[in-house]
Amino acid sequence: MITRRRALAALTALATAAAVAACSRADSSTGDAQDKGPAAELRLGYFPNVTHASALIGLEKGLFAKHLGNTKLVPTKFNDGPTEVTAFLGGSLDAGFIGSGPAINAEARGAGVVKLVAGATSGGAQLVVRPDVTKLEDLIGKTVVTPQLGNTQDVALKKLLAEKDLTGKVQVTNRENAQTLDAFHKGEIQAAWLPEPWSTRLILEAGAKVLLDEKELWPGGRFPTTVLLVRTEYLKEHPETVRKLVQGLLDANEYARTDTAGAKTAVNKQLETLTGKGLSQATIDRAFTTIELTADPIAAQFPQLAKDAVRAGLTTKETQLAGFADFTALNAVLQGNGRPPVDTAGLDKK
Amino acid sequence: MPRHDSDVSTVDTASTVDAVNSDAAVEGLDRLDTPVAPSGRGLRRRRLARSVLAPIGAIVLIIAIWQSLWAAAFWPEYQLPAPLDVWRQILEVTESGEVWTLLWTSVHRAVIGFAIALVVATPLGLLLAKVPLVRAAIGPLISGLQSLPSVAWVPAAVLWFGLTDAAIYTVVLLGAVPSIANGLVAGIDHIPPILPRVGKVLGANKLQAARHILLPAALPGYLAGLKQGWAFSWRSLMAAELIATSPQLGVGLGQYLDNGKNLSDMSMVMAGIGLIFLVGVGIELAVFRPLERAVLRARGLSGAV
Repeated sequence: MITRRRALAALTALATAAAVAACSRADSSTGDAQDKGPAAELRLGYFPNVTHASALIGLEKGLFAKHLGNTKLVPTKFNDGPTEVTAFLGGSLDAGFIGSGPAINAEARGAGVVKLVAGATSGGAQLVVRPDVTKLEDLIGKTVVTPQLGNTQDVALKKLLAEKDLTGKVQVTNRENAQTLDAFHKGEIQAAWLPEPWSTRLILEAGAKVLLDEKELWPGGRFPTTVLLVRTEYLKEHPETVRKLVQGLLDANEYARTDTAGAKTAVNKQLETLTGKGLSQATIDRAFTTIELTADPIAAQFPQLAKDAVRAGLTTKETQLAGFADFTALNAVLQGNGRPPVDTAGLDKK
Repeated sequence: MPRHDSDVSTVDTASTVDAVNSDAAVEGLDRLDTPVAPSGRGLRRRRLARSVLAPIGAIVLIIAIWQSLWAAAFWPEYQLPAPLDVWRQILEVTESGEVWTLLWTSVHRAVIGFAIALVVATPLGLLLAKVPLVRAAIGPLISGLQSLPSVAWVPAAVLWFGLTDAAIYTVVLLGAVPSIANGLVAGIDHIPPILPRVGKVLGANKLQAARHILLPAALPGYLAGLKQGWAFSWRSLMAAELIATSPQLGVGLGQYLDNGKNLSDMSMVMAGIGLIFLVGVGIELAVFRPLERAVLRARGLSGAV
């Protein structure tokens, strides 16, 4: 008995000593990854939403594949940003179109794991309500739906509620967009803050009306709805591949600018493949009027978005965004196309 | 029948011998059967030390390994946070009082679900054990259900009842009822046949036999079933809460875990896992272990616990 107790004591002491010695964390920087030339594969995340039009057009028209050449493009569909972030952090995604809210959260949780390389869409998010709701205060005691906890619209709504001192008075719940449409039809919910095409679908199919267009909240009506993230390691190892991806993105946006009808058809075709059902012409027409496709990530708004996440109560401390962006590829491609570089707003420097 | 006669005479001789030694012999046998109770303060203290210190030592060791893995930066911090970070997360929800809402939401669901399961499963188990036709008909089904993970019912329950408490209770019941019923059946099956026969000899009627022989004799098996039933209802509940998430359902531990996932906040996820573990183990230690110990000790089987 005595010897066993002694052994136990020794073991405990050893464990404690190890724990004490292990109080400081070793330097975990993976070192400088080398440029390994073009990648064999590019796993690209995106959503079946109109706010991801650049991705959908690029895929439908083969614009990414055209530039990527031998790099195999593996498109991966997600339904919400937070899930896509877990894929990024888990290393099972190389690049992805994603909302600004989850993009900032990705930086908050795994500092330096992903980099913001380009924008994709501005606008395309609205707070739609039942017709009897005429002002924000009418929503007291009612429920507003957003797609997912911590997604871009969720942050925007919660921040607005906090500003108007309505936090807790207005319920916020998260639902999958298709379920939200259904619930709105049944009268279970009175309001929803959704990305396109869902806000339009609620308006055209379920009789909702716009209470607030998110554009009204931003200077010049421009804010990053969808951006392009790339895993930092991938960016370091395959800068050439990332440059080609960005080229494909610019081509997609350019295509949408010159041939709007063709772009709508392309988006709808992709949605039909992804969700089994395309949008009506009226829906896609209206949805397109609310968005602006631009490779400019509108970097100047990111610090505000990081503050919003704190205000929304989703995180306790403001995410430091210094070094979050790397617009080298984007600006190189823009220069090659004879266009001016985008404003980095200091996000690219540590 | 001369052979029989000789048998009877042997028995007679034996019983005369017994009668002679009577009380003293029985007492001696009883003493032999009774396990030696730990006596003396030193022995008891040593036993306590072993049962308390050993698990604490194991936990310290696990945390030390965890801490060293973290310190070695083996995985990025968003995959393996420091133990202290997780502890801070738990402190944070405790200080804000959020933890009580979380625990209340989940634990009251589990307890209500378990209570309903108990009420449903006990008569079901009795029927299964005592009515051969019922047993032949649904016995295999109940056993089969026990090996079907109840999380498989979540999609069906959500489609039947929507994202409501009813859906969650359905999943919990489908997890717990088969365990409890099977435990009772096993308990009854394992009653030594001598006991009911003794009852018959002493003139017990059916009701008295059930009350004084069947139920007490089946108690250890039934209790094991209850214990497993609790474990099943707790894990079914967590599965249901993780999948069927909706803020209208109230934020329980499963939803807390899911929120952690959505925010990619690993220390929140680990804190959630820790709390779920604590509740599961806590109820087991606070309710089932003493119950089991009391029942076994009453049967002179205290050595096992």
